[in-house]
Parts: sequence; C-alpha cells; structure tokens
Amino acid sequence: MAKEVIRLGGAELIIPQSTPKELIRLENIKRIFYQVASQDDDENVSAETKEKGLEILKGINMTINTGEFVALQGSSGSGKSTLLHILGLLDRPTVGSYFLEGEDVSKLSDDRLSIIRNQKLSFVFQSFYLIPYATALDNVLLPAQYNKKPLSAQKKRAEELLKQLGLGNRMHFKPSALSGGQQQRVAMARALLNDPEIIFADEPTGQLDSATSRDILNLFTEMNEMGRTIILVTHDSDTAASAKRIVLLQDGQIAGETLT
Amino acid sequence: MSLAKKNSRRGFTEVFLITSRILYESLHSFRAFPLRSVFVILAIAFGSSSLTIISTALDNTSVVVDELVADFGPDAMMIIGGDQIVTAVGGRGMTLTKEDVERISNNINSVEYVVPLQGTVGNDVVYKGKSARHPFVVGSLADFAKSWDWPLTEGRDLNDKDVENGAKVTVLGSKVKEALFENESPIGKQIRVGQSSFTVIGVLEERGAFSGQEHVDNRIIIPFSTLVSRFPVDRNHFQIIRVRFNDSEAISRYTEEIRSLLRYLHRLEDHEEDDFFLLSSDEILVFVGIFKGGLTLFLGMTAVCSMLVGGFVLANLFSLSVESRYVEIGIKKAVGARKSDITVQFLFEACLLTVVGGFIGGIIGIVVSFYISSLGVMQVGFSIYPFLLSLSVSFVIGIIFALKPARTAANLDVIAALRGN
Repeated sequence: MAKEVIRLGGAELIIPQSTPKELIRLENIKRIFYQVASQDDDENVSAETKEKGLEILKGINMTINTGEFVALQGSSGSGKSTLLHILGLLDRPTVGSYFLEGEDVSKLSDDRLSIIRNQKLSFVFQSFYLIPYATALDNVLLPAQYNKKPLSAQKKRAEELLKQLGLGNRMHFKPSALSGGQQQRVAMARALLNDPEIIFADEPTGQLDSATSRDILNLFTEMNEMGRTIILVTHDSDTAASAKRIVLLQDGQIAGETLT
Repeated sequence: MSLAKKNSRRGFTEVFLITSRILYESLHSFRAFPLRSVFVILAIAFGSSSLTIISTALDNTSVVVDELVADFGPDAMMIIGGDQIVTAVGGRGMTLTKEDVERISNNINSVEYVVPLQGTVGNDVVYKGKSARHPFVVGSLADFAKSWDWPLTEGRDLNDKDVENGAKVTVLGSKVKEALFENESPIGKQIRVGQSSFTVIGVLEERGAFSGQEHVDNRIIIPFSTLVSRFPVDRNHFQIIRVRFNDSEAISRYTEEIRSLLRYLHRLEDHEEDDFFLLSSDEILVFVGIFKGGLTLFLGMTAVCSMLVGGFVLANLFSLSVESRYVEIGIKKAVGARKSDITVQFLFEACLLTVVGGFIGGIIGIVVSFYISSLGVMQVGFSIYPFLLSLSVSFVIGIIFALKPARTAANLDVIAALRGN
C-alpha cells in the first residue's frame, strides 16, 4: 500500500493511500469476424476460405481501474465499439482473456453474463434504444424486471433519477414525445437504476446538438465524480476530452494513451 | 460477489417475481400492437367458436343417445321382419308370424312382454273438422304402452278384451292428440280413421323422436284384430315384435337365444342369412357409437383445422412482430434479460391473445349453439366443458405456435438485435 507523508509542525503524519483497484484487465484480446463468401454450411467451401476472418481487434492489452473515466477514441472501423461490446459483456473475444474484478469472464455462460450485466454494468447508446411503446418511467424500470429487488423501491429510485435529470414532469411520456436530449437522459436514468459499477457509453452524444452534448457529458463527469467507472467510446476528440484518460485505437490496436 | 462461481440458476422467489413482472409487461402488448392483437384474437376466436359449437353438438349427441336408449328401453329388444335388403319401395319382407310370438313368449326365459306390431299408413284421422294427416296406424296386442315403456298421459292402455273383441278403441300419439284436440281431453271421444270410427281410450306421452322419417308421436294404436279386420294389411304376419325382459343384464344372451329360435322356426340353413333383424339397446349403442365416432372424427378435424389456421396466423404475425422488435429484444438482453425471459415474454403475449380469443370464441360458440337450438335443429344444455376445452386448446395453440418466434427472439445476438439486423 502506498503511503503519503505529511509534515505538520514537528510531527510527521503518515497517511495511507489506497492504490487504485484494478477493475478490468484485458490480455491479448482479439475479435475476429468470420466472413465467408457463401453459406457457412456449404461443404464445397474450403476450410481455408471459411477461416478467412476479419480481425477487428488485434491483441488488446489494457487495464482499467475502479473510478476511472476512460474514453476509447478512434476513427470509424478502428474497433472501438467492438472493444466496448466485449468490455460490456455483450460480445465475447475470439482470443484472449477478460478479467473483471480479477475473474475471467470471457468464458462464462450467457445466463451468468446476463446477471453481471444486470447488476454491475449499464449502457448508454447513441440511438438511446428506448422502447417506443413504454413510458419514460417504464423504460427506466426495464432493468428492474430482471432482478429480485422489490419493484416499489426500484420505481421510487427511477422516479428520483428522472427528477434529478430534469424529467420529473415527463416520466409518463413516451419516447416519441421527448426530444433527443431528453431521450438520452431517460437512457442515462435507466443506466443508473441498478447503481452499476461501470457505465458504458457508445457515442452518447452522436445524435445530439452541441449544447445538449455538453449537458450529457457533464452528467457523465458527475457520475464519475460519484465514484462510477465510465468507459466512453467516441470518434470525436472534443467528446473524448471530457474523460480523464483517452485510449487511442487504430486498426484494432491501441495506438496510444493520453491523460487529460 | 464472485462473478464466475456463483450459480446462475434462479431461486423460486426470483422466478416468481421476474415471471410475474414479465407477465404484467405482456399485458401492455395488447395496446402496444393493437392490429396484431386484433388479428390473432379474431383468428383464434373463429376457430374456438367452431370448436365450441362442435363439442356442444357432440355433447348433445350423447344426450340424445342416452334419451334414445332410455326411450327404447335398456331391457327391451325389437325384432324387425325381413332380411336387411330393403326392397325397391322401401319396405321389408314380412317374415314374422304368430307362431314366432308364441314361441318366444313360451320358450325364452325372462320374457315379460312379447307384443307384435303391424301397421299401415295413408289414412287421415279426423275429429270435428280437424284432421291429423297420415298418422301411422299401429295394430298391437294388449299392453302396448307397458311393452314399449311408453307412459300414458291420460286414459288407459289396450287390454286383452279389446284385442279379443276387435274393439274400435284407440290410444293416440301426442301429435295426433294435439292436432285433433289441442288442450281438450280426448278420452271417450269418437274419431274417424279411414271409414271407421274409434273411441279414444288413452293418450301416449310425447317422445319427440323419429322412426325413419316418421315422427313417433304421429301414430294411433288400435287392437291388432281390429286392424286386420278393417284395414288392408297382412293378417298372418307382423312387421315388428317388441320383446321386453325382466332384467337388462343379459340382453346379449337373450338376443342370441331369440336369433337361434327364429332361425329354427324359419327353417334357415346355416349358410342362409337371417330373414329378420334384431335390434337391442346394445346394438343401438354400437351403431350410434360408430356414427358418433365418424362424426367426432369429421367434425373434430374441422375444428382442428380451424384452430390450426388460427395458430398459423399467430405464428406468422409473431414472426413479423419479432422482426419489428429486434431493438427492444436487444436492449432487454443488454440490461440483463436471459433467453428464457425473452421466450417467456413472447409466449405470455401469445397465450394472452389466444386465451382472450378462445374466451370470445367460446362465448360466440355458446350463443350460436343456443341460437341453433332455438331453431329446433339440436338441443343444447349449458355445459362448461366445451368452453373449458376451447380455452385449453387456445392456450396450447398459443404455446405451440408462438414457440418458434419466441425462440428466435430469445436466440438473437444482442449486438445484431440492437443494430436491427
């Protein structure tokens, strides 16, 4: 454990400092999408052709600690969204190991991954992905359907979150009656409902105007300041600048890192 | 929390909570997809109503069969003269004689009554300007009503004295009584049958059944001796002999005994067919059973086809529904829904629609059945079973036909679903 020593008058105070806790560790993560010209089941297609795959991620090694605000920045096709999907347990690496809280999660069952997604992770997407026929409140309550926490408590929390995000008078509106910024706030409230450890954001400001984008990014900063780990994917360097650490991806590999 | 090692199976409480929440959410699908809901409900309702009508009709058949057997008499049999080849004019050969009647009466144990029957059709029955058209004029020995287990509503039965004296007395069937006397009592009144006058001595209870194309209540009963003396009928033969036994347990044994006796009396060789036909309640049940089996099969297939059509409509619309809801499925999986949750959601949605369709169809079926009943085509008694059958089949159709779309939805890749492809 690291120590910080402070001299106060003649006395010497030793203050223990907690080292950042490792939350995510990726070891040689590769993701290959197999693209075959004809049908996969066609026996006439040679094994070599079947094995032709598109390597999107080419051996990613990285560590993310608890409480970090990381931006994965890269141009289109750099593999940043694919990496986010793997980090968010929405996809599995073809090769390599993914350690979440020190445990290899890359080979867990689908049901187990669902539990982890429900309890520890959450997502904010560029297209909001709200259910069109459900109200804002019901959309926020969506993760509550799949756990055993009392619904009344979760509903209360959903209402509080919507109020905090300035949607107290819109919670019974359907998405079609909300603006883009409001829809993204509903998505963020949904992401916060289960008090997740990590929030993944995939181009969260991609469909918003610049003023609304700033608001949304400020909200991510606030969430991070409250102790949540934020992993944000963007192609835009201004958006990436709101993060504390920027990981630059290029052609499926980490091309560099910057601390802001 | 250990991420990897913890068992991912849900406990009972968790399953109950999550399933009830999914069920509650499925209720919203009625409003969320109104067109789909209406089409599925209608498709199932049509199938279900036909299923209800058919099962009600078959239920009614059982009631009718029971009544038929009760009317016929479980302890009785009928011997019909002639072989089974119907002649060109629709009649049968006259092969039953007085000797047959006497020998059956004397030789077969447990016989309570042996009543032969001869009849003629074609005479109008008239009373004070009112007439009953062409009732069946039946010539019988004493105790017609008893031997046919056919109660009298008023008056008395034929007795031995009537038969010995060739008395001009008659017992009326209920239709004839109604046509001639309406609410008036006919006892002691004179009616005219052909050229002869008869005194009414009794009235038979309404049976409401048909014998061939003739209504059994459209008949009058007169002494056999009177019939042969006043109407142009065969004096030496009977059309039918009605036999009633002391007990109904050994009807099949009595049937064989009577068959052997009649074959002996009619001097039939082994290779020759019977020149008479024996009809007992057992035979009626066998015959009706075969008929009902065919009817059940035919109507059942019709009902099954109707339900299958509803099922295919459901499967089709749900497949389209899954395609239009990729993003919803994707986001649900992203926030923690398991494959089983998605499957259950779609199955719930389907079953809710099919059960509502089944309920509506059941109501329609019962209403239509009662309407048909009011037209006199069939009798319908309210029974919960056709309705429950309709609901159950609708539920099963929902499960079976929504399973494939539900599994398709459940197996969608999260990323592909979120991208809508």
